[in-house]
Amino acid sequence: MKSRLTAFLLMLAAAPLAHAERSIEDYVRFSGFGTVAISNSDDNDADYRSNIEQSTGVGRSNNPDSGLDTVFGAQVDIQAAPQLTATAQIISRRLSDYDSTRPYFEWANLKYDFNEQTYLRAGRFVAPTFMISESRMVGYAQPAVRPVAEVYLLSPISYMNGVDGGYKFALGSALVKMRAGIGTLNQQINQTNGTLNFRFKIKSFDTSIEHDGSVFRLGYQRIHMDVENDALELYDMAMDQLEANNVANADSIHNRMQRLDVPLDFFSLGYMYDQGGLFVQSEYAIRKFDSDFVQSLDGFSLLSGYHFGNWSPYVSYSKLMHRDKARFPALDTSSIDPGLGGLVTAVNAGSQLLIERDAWSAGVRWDLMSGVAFKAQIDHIIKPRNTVAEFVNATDEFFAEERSVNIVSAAIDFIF
Amino acid sequence: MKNMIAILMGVYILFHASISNAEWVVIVSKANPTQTVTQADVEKIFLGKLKLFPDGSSAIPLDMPEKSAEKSAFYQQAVGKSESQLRSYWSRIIFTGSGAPPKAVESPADMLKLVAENPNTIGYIDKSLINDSVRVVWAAP
Repeated sequence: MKSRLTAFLLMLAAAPLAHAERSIEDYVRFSGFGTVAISNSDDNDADYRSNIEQSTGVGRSNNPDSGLDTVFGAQVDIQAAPQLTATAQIISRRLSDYDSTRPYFEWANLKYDFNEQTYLRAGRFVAPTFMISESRMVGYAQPAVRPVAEVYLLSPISYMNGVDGGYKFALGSALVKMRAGIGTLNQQINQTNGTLNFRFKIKSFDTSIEHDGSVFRLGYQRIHMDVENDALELYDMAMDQLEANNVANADSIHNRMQRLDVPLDFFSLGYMYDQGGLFVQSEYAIRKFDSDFVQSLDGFSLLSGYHFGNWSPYVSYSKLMHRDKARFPALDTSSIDPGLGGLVTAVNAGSQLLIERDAWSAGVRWDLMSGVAFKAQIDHIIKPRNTVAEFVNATDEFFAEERSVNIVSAAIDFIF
Repeated sequence: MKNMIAILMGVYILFHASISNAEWVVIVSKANPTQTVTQADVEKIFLGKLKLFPDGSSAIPLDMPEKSAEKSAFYQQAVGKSESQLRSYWSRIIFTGSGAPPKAVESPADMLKLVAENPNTIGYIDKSLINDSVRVVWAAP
């Protein structure tokens, strides 16, 4: 993949030669964005993270933490021909690779505009899973410090390599957009129990209607996922042992832990309004796995605020909900070999895993000069007992107890 | 020296007052068949959402210079966005590879000339500055 990207960039660099008679600004545009942020948590027993790819966050591993929301991006757009645009964007941010901020290509594609209404694009582009997935790292484009975590951490998929096409048209005074894409992603996520190697095959569709300051959006993704992990192979061996010992329900539990070619669906229904002073962003998202390996979760968020000149205060409420949580049967321990007791307890504890939390946030954006905004935000996250609730690196106490965690963040967003 | 500063400040205040009191009109070339556009068309074209004239032909919007008082006054009146809201909007478009803001002209005179000479362009200008080389297709309320 690396060499293909290099070839792509060389091609981009060569493209302008074809237009020697025009000035360089006419066909090459450099731009960039970034967020420099710092956060503090009042709970040192677990890490709060802003997306599911991060393996550390603010709290237990870092407190205060400048890596949670800090991100840098640089982009070049090249008009290679009147209807052909090449775009490459490099991002540096905290990833799953234990505090690595190694830059990578988030976007690298060629887009062909057949006309104003229709395009075809090939290469790497961000998967449009949720309403603002594609611009979620551009803090300057967002009202809050970060996209609402209770929705945006449902998906581990950032970009995909593939093709997509879009069509848009006016419907009366409204604008309708439709888009469909297909692609793949190989993703590595490092967690305390080892490295998870994911392979995703993604089909994506989204449509939106914009009218008079309002945008309604519907998104759907069908994904087939493979996952590999050393610890999971140990799990398979352990479950095989339980099945061999005829522990009741062991085979049905094991069968529900499919990890190859697992169908996964994302649905998202979103609404945005930004006109005059009032702005609103609301979204309901569903992650549905046909396997108990990853939980089926719903996320909801409602954010609203008001522009008072250059000051834009906002509040939000969001919720992470666990669906189908009772689907796991408990292992039947009545006729069990005493030597397997510990294993059975562990599997039963796993079957009671719950991922739920509520969050209230309040903050303000201050546009202090052209292209620079300052934000301050407080998040109040409430989690029930017996869950890490998508926090990471949690202590046993954090898991067991009901907790409320307060995160205070300050950020400067800029574009150039 | 003091007088000079006072005069400059007076000019500045007058200039700003005239900008915010200006009546903004959207213009096309006389050679363009478009007679009128709606506020929704203005928003779609200048925000790069769908750059088409009502007859379906391609529309190329032109902007007044970056950070100019003319530009911010027009966008405030035409689409209800302040300069920072507009930059925030465009940052979302640019960094998702979805488009680029309109090209900027150098002055109102430049705007008149470019629009008059290029039938597929569309621009905006203070109503008091128009001449008969262009046609007004929309006026800010």
